[in-house]
Amino acid sequence: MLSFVLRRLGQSGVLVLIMSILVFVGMYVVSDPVAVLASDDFTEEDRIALASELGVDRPLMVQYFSFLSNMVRGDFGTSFVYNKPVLPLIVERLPATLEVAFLAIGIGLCVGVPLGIYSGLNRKRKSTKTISFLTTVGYSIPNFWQALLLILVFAVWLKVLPASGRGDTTMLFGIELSFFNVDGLRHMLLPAINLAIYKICMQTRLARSGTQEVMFQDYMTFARAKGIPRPRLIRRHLLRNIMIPIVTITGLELGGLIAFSTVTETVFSWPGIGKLLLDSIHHADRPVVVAYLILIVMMFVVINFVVDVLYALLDPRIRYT
Amino acid sequence: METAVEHTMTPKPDKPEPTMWERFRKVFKGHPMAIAGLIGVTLFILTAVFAPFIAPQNPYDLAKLDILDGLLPPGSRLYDGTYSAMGTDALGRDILSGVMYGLRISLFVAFTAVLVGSTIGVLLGLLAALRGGWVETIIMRAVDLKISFPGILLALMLLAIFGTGVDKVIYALIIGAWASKARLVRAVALSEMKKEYIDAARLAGLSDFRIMTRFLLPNSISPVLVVLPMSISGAIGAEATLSFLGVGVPITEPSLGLLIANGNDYLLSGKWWISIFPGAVLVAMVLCINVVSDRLRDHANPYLRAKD
Amino acid sequence: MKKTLTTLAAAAALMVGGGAQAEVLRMAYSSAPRSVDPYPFGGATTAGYKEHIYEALVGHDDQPLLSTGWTWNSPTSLTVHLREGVSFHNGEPFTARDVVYSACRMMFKIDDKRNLLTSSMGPLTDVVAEGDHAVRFETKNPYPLWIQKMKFLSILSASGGDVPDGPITYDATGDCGITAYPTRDDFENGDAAIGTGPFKHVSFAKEFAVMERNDDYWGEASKWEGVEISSVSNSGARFAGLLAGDYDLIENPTNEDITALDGDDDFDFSGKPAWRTMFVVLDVNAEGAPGVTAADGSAPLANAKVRHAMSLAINRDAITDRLFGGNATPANQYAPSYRAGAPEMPALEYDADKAKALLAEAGYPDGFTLQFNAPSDRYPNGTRVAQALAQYWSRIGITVELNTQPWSVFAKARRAREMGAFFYGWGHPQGPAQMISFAFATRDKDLGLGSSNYSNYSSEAFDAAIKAWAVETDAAKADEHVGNAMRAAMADMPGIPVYYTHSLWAHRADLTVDGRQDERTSAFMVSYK
Repeated sequence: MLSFVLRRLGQSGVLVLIMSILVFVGMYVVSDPVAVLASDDFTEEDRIALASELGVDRPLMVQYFSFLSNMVRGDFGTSFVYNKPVLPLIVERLPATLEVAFLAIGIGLCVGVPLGIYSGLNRKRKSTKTISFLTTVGYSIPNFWQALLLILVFAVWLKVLPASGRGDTTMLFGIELSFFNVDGLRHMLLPAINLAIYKICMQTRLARSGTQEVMFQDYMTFARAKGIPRPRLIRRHLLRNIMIPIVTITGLELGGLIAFSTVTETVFSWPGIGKLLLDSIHHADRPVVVAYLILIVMMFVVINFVVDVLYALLDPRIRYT
Repeated sequence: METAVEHTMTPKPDKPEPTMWERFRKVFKGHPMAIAGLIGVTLFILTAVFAPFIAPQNPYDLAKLDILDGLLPPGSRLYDGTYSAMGTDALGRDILSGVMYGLRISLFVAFTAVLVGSTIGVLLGLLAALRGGWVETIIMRAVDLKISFPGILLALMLLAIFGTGVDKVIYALIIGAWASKARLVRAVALSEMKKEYIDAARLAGLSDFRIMTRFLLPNSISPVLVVLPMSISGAIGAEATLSFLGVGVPITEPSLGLLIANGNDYLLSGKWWISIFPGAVLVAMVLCINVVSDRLRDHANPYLRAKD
Repeated sequence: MKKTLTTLAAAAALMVGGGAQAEVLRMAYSSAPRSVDPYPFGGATTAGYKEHIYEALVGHDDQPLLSTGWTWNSPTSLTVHLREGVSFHNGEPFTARDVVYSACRMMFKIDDKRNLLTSSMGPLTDVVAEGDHAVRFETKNPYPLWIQKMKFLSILSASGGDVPDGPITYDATGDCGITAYPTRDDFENGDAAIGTGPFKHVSFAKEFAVMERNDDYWGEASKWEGVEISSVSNSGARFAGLLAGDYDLIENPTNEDITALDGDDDFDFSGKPAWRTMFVVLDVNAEGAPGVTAADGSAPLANAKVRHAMSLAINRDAITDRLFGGNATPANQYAPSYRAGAPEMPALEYDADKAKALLAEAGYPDGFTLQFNAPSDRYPNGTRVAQALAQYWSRIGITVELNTQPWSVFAKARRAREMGAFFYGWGHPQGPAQMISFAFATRDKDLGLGSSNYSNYSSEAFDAAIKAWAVETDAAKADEHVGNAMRAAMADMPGIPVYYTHSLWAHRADLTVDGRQDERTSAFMVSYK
């Protein structure tokens, strides 16, 4: 087990290296920070001076190695755009993203799993067909369009929820949170629903197919024959067995929500890290993008690691890799 | 030698093989929703294929568009007399024609990307399971890498290097599609590998390649087939999102997604037709694909078939 | 504090129905101001935000603000007379020392990075206090543009830094013998955010800024007790936020969205022609231009007839009418025709037949192939205008490949000169000659001309006129040179002017907005009806 952990650690180190190279080359290909930052009344001399202050006039290799040596010392660099250290810039926006991500996942689980189990148990009912129809519709509406439709209905027509921004926050242990504040919660609801609709559809489908398979297993038939009452059957036998894949997928989905809620955060002007990433890509702010994606790749390595360990614990036949 | 083996392995039919049509009928008989979906899918595909012949206007020919025809509501007539059943967008593009042509692009992009991406993903997943060791490590870490890499940056890179184009969007979506399939197939294949028949095949001296194609592939592919229609919906949505972010298909050849993204700007001012029509068609198409594939999957599931 | 202001605003919003008036103005910008420190960043929203707190010697309308006037001692020396009786937010009086301090702070590099606004300091060599109420600016070359450039030199209080007693001696590194300048944090927590403006800094964090009224303002104090600035980059969400009552005023609603306000009792919009020209840059290089190909291998864009034909093919009225609902003005020259100092010019003609004939006359009866580039996320309606232009050119036989890309990619390709024809917008806060001096002049390092000449255009007549303008301190004579330069450039047409943008604001119907032309949004322009 220890060697498994160590090997994984080594692999993730390599992964971080590859990611940093990819982003370096990618941002170099995509944009020129001087062209984005310099306004039209810059003379050519101003532009050259700016390039040298940003350090982007050096060959890419040199820039990369100076980045690496700084990173090893824990310095991820300074944002081109904000001229602030990169790490605090990301960290101060993290709570906003985490809050919405957890709320969305929570809504997804609480709505999706019961709907899925219901559909799995009552395959022939009309209501099941309706659920299946709705989840397919929800799944196929592009996220950005859904967001604007939500704004149109809830903010413009019904005027019950605010359209954008974060609203009031409460300080808790030095972190700004919206969860414990009515105004904050109201602001959080539309972006969370926007992210949750897709999750609800997915969880419903997962729970439904899981239920269908489990219900036909021999042990379920046996349990039914033994006369175990239905609620107990669902709680003890069904739920336990279908939760394994659901929890696994939820972990990965949570990672995705934290890393790439870019469209939702942009449309709702939610000041989280997804919006920061998109803005930084568009503003040629390479230090932010590199640091961000290194953190994200590390997060996914950890998530996948946990998933693999869980698999291994559940199914001893699978070997460690 | 080989044909002899295959011959002996083919079970003797005790009744005449059902024809394609009979099997087809058996799947859909008694399922009106599925039949409706099937008709829908057929219509959408036919519309996409024959769009140039049936569309009232060629929405991709800039010389034919006139901004003086812009923003006409559904049921108007264009300056040249063309009847516009779904109205026009700001540039005088007939929405109905745009939807027909957009279907072509969306379907083509999504199907190509998902098929190619899934094929690559399945093969890599199988390879990872079969070979293990460093091959598996590299493939699975590549999956991690891909999942951590934002699609927008990838699409921007392709755009910056190769310029805009439908093909670049397909590349971006292929790179987006393979990873989840590889992960899925590897997981399934790993548990297949523990079964006796693989050991038997190994003992019989079959090559890795033959084991992969003859045994592992057919037994591991069903979960991929199950998620395939979802992947196609997902790819259509992903293409739409890339267009919304300004890195999708060329703006002069809008897909359904790009039509929706353009129409988004007009939603609050009451010019609903620009985004609602393409959006409704997109949803209807995805629904039809899902209904049909659900039926096929239920039919393929022995437990459920027994209950039917 | 943030909380109290919000509560105030909410309470005030509730009272509106009862006839009482809100005391806090809640505005939504289209992008986030980047810092409280006035110098590191340019950009309309950062500038719009900071003008609430800081003021400059010259105002946005080119008129004296913290000054009462100026006199040229020589073409390289200008004395500015300061306004008396002005005090900073901390009560310190405003004197010439603060101006020298501010100039030093502008030049000083924080963490070895220049302030992006430093470029507006031009060839400045010295800043000298002449007594308490006059400052002399010395430049290397004659630099009449400094009058306009002074708008960018926000005035900070010298008491904000650790400044030794006695006069401050200016130097180009910004060191000036000053022991320590305030840090970024000092600005954000308000310690150093001390200006003379009508509002005081309260808080600034993550795309949300709060300010309160400066009751001791030297001019007429604002009617607004406070200002809150949010940043909502998505235009749909910004507009929805207004309709939902989250904001009192938003900047840059889309031309589509404001049509929804026709006949609305609760909301209205205001517009103002802005100082921005949208035009097409054409690479006139005789060797050929990237992405432009003709069957015979020649360089079509090098031929002035082709460029005029392309201009003739464009129906500018249809574009401003149909795509902008009249909230844009057809262009007839490179500077907005309504910018002070811009010459009188005839309207540009639209005649597709004439364009076709001219194209044939130039030797391209069957047209040529043109890759036309436009940023996809930069200008309101930009991609639609680009498509409309492509429509018009394809009608006279040019094969147009329209290539839209996000601004970052576009800006890189532009700087690398990889585009033969592209769509671009240029603001003119510094007068009518600013753009042409950068975009069409042959490069001249000393006079700062031609730095953005992506047209590769070079004309003796134009250069002579623009060089005469660059050193002319007499305003009337300078205008004459601008006229000559403009006419020379328009005759050759190295770029095709299309339209001038209008700034738009959508707001509650009980407000009036006296809009500005420099694309900025501030609380001073908003009042109750």
